[in-house]
Amino acid sequence: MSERYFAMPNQSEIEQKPAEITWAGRLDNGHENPAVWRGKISANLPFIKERFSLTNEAEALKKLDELKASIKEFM
Amino acid sequence: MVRCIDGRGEDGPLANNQNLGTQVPGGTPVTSMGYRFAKGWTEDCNIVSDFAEYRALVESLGLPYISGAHQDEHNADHPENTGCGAIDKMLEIVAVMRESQTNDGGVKNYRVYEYAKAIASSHMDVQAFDQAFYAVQDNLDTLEKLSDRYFKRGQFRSDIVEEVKDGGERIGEKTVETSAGEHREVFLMVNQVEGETFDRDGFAASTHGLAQAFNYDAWAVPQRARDIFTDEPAKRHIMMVTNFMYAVATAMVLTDGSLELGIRQ
Repeated sequence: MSERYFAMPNQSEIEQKPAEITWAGRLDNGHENPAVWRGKISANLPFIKERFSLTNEAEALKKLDELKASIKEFM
Repeated sequence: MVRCIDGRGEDGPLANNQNLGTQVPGGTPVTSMGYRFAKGWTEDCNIVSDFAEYRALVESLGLPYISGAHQDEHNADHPENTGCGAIDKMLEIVAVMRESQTNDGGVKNYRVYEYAKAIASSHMDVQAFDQAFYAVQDNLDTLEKLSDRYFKRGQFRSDIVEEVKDGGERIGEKTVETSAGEHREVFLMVNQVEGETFDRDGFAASTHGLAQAFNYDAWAVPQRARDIFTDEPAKRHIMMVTNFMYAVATAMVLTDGSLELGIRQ
């Protein structure tokens, strides 16, 4: 596995803490060939930029960070 | 009612978020595949009858969850499908699960193996995971041989939704959600916090429908397995690992590799 591999914290370490979200990189699905992944559900920055009517990909990245912060309120 | 991991909500007013069902891929029908793998094969089983058997067992034990699934608003356009990617693409998902194994019993596709092992690490040790993983591979080999019958020669999809609806009508409960709109998931959440789930519709509404998230309540899988195979740890682990692998393979099949994983624990 690449650096995308994620590891779960030790259970005994987390039982004392309130729930937290650890962001663990993108899911490595092995789709190296664009013909395979085209048309699948995507959160690529150009899509996020277009969907939220943003002007550049830096803003899209910022929007994803905002969404990461807000999703905590819904879990 | 058990919900799918799908990030799309239903049309209409927001659901009461104080009583949301847990989210697992495909809802209850996919859970019943893990039940079959753990219990062992019978001569005439198929994915629809396995769902009915599992649901009947849950009901007979008085377990506090209602078997559920979902369709989508496009069903009229494609009646052969359900609108649930985890069920409609079941053959492709099972194929990705099978890619994990080499002909000599080793591990070929480490992605499904490693991700499923990481999810399982909160619930079992590595040795138990490996034993269950190879047992699941044996079951996938059997499934490959029985594929035509088990998947009703490709006719299983709409039959499953009808079976789930029938169960709901029998107990006077809604058991099939109808997802609306396009897929706009941006995250894949794995929730390990027991007793808690995700307000899917609330999150989507907070973004005016521009963003959604898949959520997998992985904590619920060992609970279901304990309920069914209370004194049989090996079977319990097979049921769990089947579901963990299915969840990972579903995400791999449905998404393009750009969605970030959020692990909540």
